[in-house]
Amino acid sequence: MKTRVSRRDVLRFASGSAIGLALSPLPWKLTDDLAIWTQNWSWIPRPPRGELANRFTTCTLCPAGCAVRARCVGDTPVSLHGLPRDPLSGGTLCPLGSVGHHLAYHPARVAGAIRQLGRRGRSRAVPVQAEAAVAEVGKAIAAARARGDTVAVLDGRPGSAGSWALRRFASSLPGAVRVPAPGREGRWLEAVAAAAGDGSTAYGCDLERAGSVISFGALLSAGWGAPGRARALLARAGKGATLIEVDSRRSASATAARRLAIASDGEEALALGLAHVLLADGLVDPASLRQSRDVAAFSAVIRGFTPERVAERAGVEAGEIVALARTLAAHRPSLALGGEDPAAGPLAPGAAAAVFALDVLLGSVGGAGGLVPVRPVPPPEGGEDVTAPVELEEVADGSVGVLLIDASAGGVTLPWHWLERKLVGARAVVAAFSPYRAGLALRADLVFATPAYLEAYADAPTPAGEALASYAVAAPLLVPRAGAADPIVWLRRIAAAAGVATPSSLSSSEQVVRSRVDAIHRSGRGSVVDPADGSIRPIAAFASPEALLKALVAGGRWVDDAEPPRSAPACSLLGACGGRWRELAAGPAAPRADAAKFPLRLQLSGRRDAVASAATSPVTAKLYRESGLRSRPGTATVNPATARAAGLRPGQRVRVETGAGALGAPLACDAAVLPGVVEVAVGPDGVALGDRGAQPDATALDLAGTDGQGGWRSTPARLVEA
Amino acid sequence: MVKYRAAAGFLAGAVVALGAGWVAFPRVLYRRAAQPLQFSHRLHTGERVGLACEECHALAADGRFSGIPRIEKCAACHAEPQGKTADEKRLVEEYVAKGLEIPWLVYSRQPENAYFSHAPHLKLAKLKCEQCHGPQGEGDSLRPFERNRISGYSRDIWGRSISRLRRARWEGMKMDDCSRCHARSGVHESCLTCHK
Repeated sequence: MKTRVSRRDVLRFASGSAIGLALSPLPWKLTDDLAIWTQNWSWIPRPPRGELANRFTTCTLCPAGCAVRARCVGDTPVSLHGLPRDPLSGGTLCPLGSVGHHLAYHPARVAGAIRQLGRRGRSRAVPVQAEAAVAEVGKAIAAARARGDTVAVLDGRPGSAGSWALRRFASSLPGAVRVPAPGREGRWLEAVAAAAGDGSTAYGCDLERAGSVISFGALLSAGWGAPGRARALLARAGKGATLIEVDSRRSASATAARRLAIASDGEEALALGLAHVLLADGLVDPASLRQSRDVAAFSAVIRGFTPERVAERAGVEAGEIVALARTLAAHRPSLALGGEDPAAGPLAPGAAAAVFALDVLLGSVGGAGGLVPVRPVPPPEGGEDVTAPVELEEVADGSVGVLLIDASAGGVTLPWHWLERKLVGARAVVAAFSPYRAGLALRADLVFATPAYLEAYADAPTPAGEALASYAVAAPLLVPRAGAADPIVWLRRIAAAAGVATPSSLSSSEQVVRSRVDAIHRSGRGSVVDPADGSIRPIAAFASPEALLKALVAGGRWVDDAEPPRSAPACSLLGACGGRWRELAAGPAAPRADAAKFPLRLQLSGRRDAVASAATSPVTAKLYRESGLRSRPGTATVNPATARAAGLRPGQRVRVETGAGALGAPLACDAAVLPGVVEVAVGPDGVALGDRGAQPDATALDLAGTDGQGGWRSTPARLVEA
Repeated sequence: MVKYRAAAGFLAGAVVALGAGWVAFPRVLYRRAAQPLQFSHRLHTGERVGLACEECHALAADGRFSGIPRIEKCAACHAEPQGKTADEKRLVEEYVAKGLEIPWLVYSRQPENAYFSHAPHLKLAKLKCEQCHGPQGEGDSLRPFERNRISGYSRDIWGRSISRLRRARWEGMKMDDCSRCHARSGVHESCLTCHK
């Protein structure tokens, strides 16, 4: 009998084979091995192997300055950890800090100098000779000075070692101004210093002795200031201490802090409503009232801010406002804290002044558990004779001929159109100092490479809100990439090319750090805490500045002595906001001219680890894009009711439009987002996560800050189907 | 007849595939390589020599593991041949006399993206070597090293059993194995604990 193999037989055999294979380990093991194979490309950096050693340093990726234990193989850090004995960070290290040692290998690193061609933000880069680039910027500065244009230096990290060099540069160049980053942490406290007394005394927050803290815009539980202090406060919550966070955005964390959701831009009204209840119920601190110059005028204005009238504007029920004011009065010392958000920027000036007025009424200015005077860290040599900074809002539109952006210490969160409108137009030259071709550096004509984190000396002066001055140093653990130079070195070369003599002091970040350590040693103030073992040595125990520097380079943190208590200074409750508050008190504000066109409010969200650096490790892509632990960057999230009203569905592509432009984004719905609000996370974009080709057309930041309120926390917007 | 023929074709396919998956695939997947020298752990840890594991696989005071012993350690006893085997002769002539390190093929080498520290496991968790490495110290010879042709990993990372079923408790050093042990022991872990 002849047997013929038919097509059906082949199919039967194949079916049997398929089922047999599925019942064998082959497909599963093969998948596993192939997945591993794809993780081991030859170009992936390989950490060295060898004997492990611990080095102690400080994270300078954001102003918090957390203490770090770097586990090193030889001289190369292979992992970073927090140090629980550090008084400021309490062992905290955020996702960005934990992968900080990856940043030196980021695909967007710049070598030498590059020119960016094409539209700002959508440009392509070509390498240029560093000397030619320096000469070009020098020539542009000379031309700007000849024309009377302003040379502006955007200081990305005011107070840091690099910042002192920018100050000297701006001081030695007639017509130049140093512009501190508008979203810097501690801006509200600067406003407090200006409002309380003559502005010469800086203030910090005595969280440790506060009975209750109400924060407006400063999310302590998300790491504002020094994260260890917020943790300690949260640990005290429920044992008498209270932390209330007032915010109009949804909470991404479940902490012991009470979150009070308010309407977009409702901070000012709520603070004034609380002030009204305190005054009406006689709950104010009599001593502080005596120190205030305009109590009667303030009381007259505040009469209009009854809880019932404030309720609608703030989005909080009247009864809750009354109860909150009474809680603050009952749990003294109470501190009202205004702050800056890493993504959404500073409080509007009106809200900042209202929060300060609330502090005065609570008797929190100058006393324990409130706003306390803080001595500054002694400045480096020659640091005193520098010109005052100029706020970006004070720089005239269309006046800047040369803009130098110092992004060497990290990302600078700022809507680009805020800077762009200051430029003289197409002839303006923008240069950036940055380790990466990312963030604001993408908008520059020329980018000068600077060392990445852990490649150069950096410092961490007092974080915002600290009650005691502190100073820590990060010495280099890695060799800088070829072609990268300290921004101070680039600035000196540019100044020389422009024909401007710069002082020889402060010629490198290391020199600034050394000079500052000298000054601290000379002051004889404070002690050095060793985060490795928690031991404390008074400054007198260090025989020389070199010995002090050695201790700080080894991870020590200098902490100032406590200031003796002072009486509350004379201050104005109304400040510059009297007129505005009278108008607000008179009745509901007239609807905005663009209210029909832009019926929603765009609010930006983003934690420090997402925005503090223009680049982050690709390892964190899972955290920001997949995990749900952080808001997914570039997604427009709205309340389901808002989506229904706009006829939109979750998952659909939409366009978020504001007066500054439009952004395409997928739509997500979340009942925790307030109705009428579009929340977009400002997080690590594709470039920051290592995809060099992922330059966005526009970022959420570019859409914000169009309403002239002095910030970009809330922007009129609309959603349309893409 | 037609029915049997249909079943036979199907079964033949299944048997061939099962054979390929369970028998041929593991043989093809792993490339075997002999260790540069044969060596008896049993002899060294037995009564005649009486060494403890940590006398050759040394630990620093803080628990850091210095791994495979260096040639100086062997030379302390093997400056002269201690027996008449060919391997003993090669040890002395090719490595000890020339001061060259023996290029051992390490069964439990972790991949590049993982950092494993012996210190917390030995000092804090007080694990015994055998709990992860199995009865290595009892062998009279060194088994061949098997390298995965695709991933490049040692077979010990996956474990002897290709299906990972019916494994001894110590077999397997994949991330799942670490996590399972951590979960069982109530040890908190995060990605960056091991991945750098």
